[in-house]
Amino acid sequence: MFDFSIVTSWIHELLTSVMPAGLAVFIECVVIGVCLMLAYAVIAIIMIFMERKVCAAFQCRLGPVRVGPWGTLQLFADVFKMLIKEIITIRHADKFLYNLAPYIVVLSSILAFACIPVNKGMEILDFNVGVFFLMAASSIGIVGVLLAGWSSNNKYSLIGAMRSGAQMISYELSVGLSILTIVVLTDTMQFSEIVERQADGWFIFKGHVPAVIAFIIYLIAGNAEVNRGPFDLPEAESELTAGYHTEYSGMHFGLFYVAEFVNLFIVSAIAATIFLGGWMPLHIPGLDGFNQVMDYIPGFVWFFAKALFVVWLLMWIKWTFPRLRIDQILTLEWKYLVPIGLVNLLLMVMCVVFGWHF
Amino acid sequence: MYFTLLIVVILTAIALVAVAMGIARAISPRSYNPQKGEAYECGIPTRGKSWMQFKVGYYLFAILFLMFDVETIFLFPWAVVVQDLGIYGLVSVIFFLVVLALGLAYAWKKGALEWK
Amino acid sequence: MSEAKEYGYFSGLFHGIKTLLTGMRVTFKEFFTKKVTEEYPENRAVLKMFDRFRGTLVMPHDEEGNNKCIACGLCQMACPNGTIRIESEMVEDPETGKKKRRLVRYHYDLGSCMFCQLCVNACPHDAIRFSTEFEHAVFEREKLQEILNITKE
Repeated sequence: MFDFSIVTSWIHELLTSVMPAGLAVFIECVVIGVCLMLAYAVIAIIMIFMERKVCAAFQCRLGPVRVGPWGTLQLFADVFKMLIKEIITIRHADKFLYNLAPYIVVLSSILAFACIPVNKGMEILDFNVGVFFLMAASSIGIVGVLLAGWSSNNKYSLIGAMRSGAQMISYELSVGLSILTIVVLTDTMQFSEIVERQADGWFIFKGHVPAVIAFIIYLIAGNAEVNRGPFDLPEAESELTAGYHTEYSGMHFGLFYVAEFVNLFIVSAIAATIFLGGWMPLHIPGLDGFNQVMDYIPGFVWFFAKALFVVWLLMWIKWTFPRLRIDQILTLEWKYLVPIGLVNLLLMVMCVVFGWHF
Repeated sequence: MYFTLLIVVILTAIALVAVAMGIARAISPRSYNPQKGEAYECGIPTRGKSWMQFKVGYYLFAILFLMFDVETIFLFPWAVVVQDLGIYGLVSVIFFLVVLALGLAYAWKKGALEWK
Repeated sequence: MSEAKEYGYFSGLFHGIKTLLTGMRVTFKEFFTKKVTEEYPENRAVLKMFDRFRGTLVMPHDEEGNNKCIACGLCQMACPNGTIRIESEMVEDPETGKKKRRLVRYHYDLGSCMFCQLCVNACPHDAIRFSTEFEHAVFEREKLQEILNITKE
């Protein structure tokens, strides 16, 4: 299996041999920052392109095909269009908060994005409380959304932002409970360890019934957390013009747009990491020949295949179902998902304590 | 080492937004027009102040969320060590969860979970 | 009017899951069907319009250049826009000595036609019909005025 820490330690030795250690660390940090920005932008572009093509395929049409081969350059054209649009600031808006909101939303998105292990040894933030940190980072985004709605001097933006805030905080709970279910199965919160422990079978197979229920709850709650799919009431055009980002134009809006799609990728990547094994290939305990063959495919190919599969699943859900009303969204969460999540957690604890898992 | 990387990630986020907004403000056209400064409320002129009073339902859901989020935070360290604690861990947390579930049931019965 | 069935907690949950999965199966099948989008300028070779499509008005002529128009003027009277203008003359039939109306020129203004097909419906001898040719863009408005009949020389 390709281990990325070989590459990182080689670069570190190369740099420390020609310059003092402090400067080497500084240059590595700059390189990491630049790579993170590029990865963020590239993932956003891939996600938006995939959304347009997949959505078209579900609707019996082709999606973008003209700009570039199979429409691949369409997104670059769209980004350029967004950059050159005029940024209209409205007169009575709270200027500081109005400009601050995109910073907070993108900050939360990048913090969560940096936690995901893409390959063995290839993650940026590898805290030993990784899962906990991830939940905390995604909660910062809610503040950004509320600020965006509040600071636009617009009643509909405010309503949209409050509804979005209520929805996001409610579904945070279900996300936390379903991740907690897996943390019970494996006694660590560190992401790289979680992936390492799936070497003899992914968690969705190891923790059978409770893990499958937790997976489904996580998908629904993650969908609602990022305001996507049947839960996109705050940004529905027919309901509230564009909800909390009505008064943003051009690249200001582009940042919200990009953050939404990268959040979708993050939710799918976390689902793939915790439930489906991250970069760990499919190993069936006992079949060593099969496991050897599976090991030849490098880790990041497995990771992206799994994450993009879950993204496709979420897009399938989005383009099948109509939008839910806000009272239906909150009923679904508080009356169905939280009780089922708690019962599922107890079920998983019983499985772990009595040894009913693989 | 963790802390350094965290600072790097935060600075990257700020840099990304600043660069994007900087490029946008540099190359986008600008034309001042008093109509453009108005808020968009489906085309009709705005009536009254825009910072209106909230529905109390938001407050109730926020309080419920606060309770359950603190519960989740308390459950995280327990979840990491539950395998070593065995049945003792299971029974003790059942008490904790039952108390909180009673709180949710009370809120449900009293109608705090309805949107109106 | 039938009442909506009231579901309890668990029956509502399972009924909901079943209906959601039914919907997802429908879209899943749709994902793999062949798409109906026609990529227009590239598929001109295989493009086939359906027969009832109204592209432009033509007057079909047979191999010797005869058309079926008798210059009755019914199409000109039926047209709501005044798109058609018929120039006809009375000629004397040499054998019988009777006067007959004959078509000289059949003006058709593509720029003002609204493709309603009332002229085709009005014609008693099927002298005019719509063809499926739809690429009519020209750079000068005068080119849209057409003469539909071919005079034999």
